[in-house]
Amino acid sequence: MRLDYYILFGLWLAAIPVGGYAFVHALTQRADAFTAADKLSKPAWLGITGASLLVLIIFQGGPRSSGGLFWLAALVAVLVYIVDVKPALVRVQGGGRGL
Amino acid sequence: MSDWSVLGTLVAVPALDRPDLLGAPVAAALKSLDPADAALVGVAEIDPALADTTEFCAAYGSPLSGSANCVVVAGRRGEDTRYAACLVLASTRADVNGLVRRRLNARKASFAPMDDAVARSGMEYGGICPIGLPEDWPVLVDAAVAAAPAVVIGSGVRHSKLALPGALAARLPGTEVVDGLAR
Repeated sequence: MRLDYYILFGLWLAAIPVGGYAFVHALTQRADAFTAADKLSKPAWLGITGASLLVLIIFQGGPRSSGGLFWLAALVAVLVYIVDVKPALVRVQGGGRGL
Repeated sequence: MSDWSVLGTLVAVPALDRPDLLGAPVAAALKSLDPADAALVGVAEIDPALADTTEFCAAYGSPLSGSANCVVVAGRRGEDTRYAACLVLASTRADVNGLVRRRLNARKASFAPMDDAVARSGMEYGGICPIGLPEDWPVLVDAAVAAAPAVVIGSGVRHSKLALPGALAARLPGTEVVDGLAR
């Protein structure tokens, strides 16, 4: 059992709720906000975050990993949503600074 | 006589016959229109719980592409905030950050927060109507709305909807038809 396995396992475990959060967040946004923010459409982001969440659940990371880093790719997609798309959605709905 | 069949299973009557189904600013603006134009606007009572476009269309058999959403956009440049309304078909989305932002000459454009839109327009959320908005708000009408034979729009209140020819929506006071407003 190597340490890096446990690091990846921990990362994977933490990624699942993050993926769930991103999907639920996308689900609760108004559809025209995505267009207004110059992002992909709401169904597209629902698909991306939903598929990522599914991949995170199916392909377990860490010591019992079936190999492959699909889940890491899914985590990246989810993080793109959280750091890029979500703030843009908040801004275009009048949230954030300057109001 | 206008075609109000876009309201699906609802039966419309001339809007000015039922002022109880109109928001106060909407009724006032309709009265100030040319009576021939005002006669083209029909109103029908709906369940206020079904005022949001998708639910409205599903419940009353009205096509989604026959409804126009009126979204209030706030554009900011420094301390200055300007408002505009965008009328786009419900099957499309307004390009807020592109065309609308440039038209308002703003650095940042966003949907006006619900409280703000309601307080400034004097209309109910979910029933915002392009007729009767504050005079200094440009109403940007997507070319697809202008070309539609008839569209369903809000009435200022949640318990009714208006139907009118797209061409009339496009020549109301304060409106500008914008090509490519919606995507």
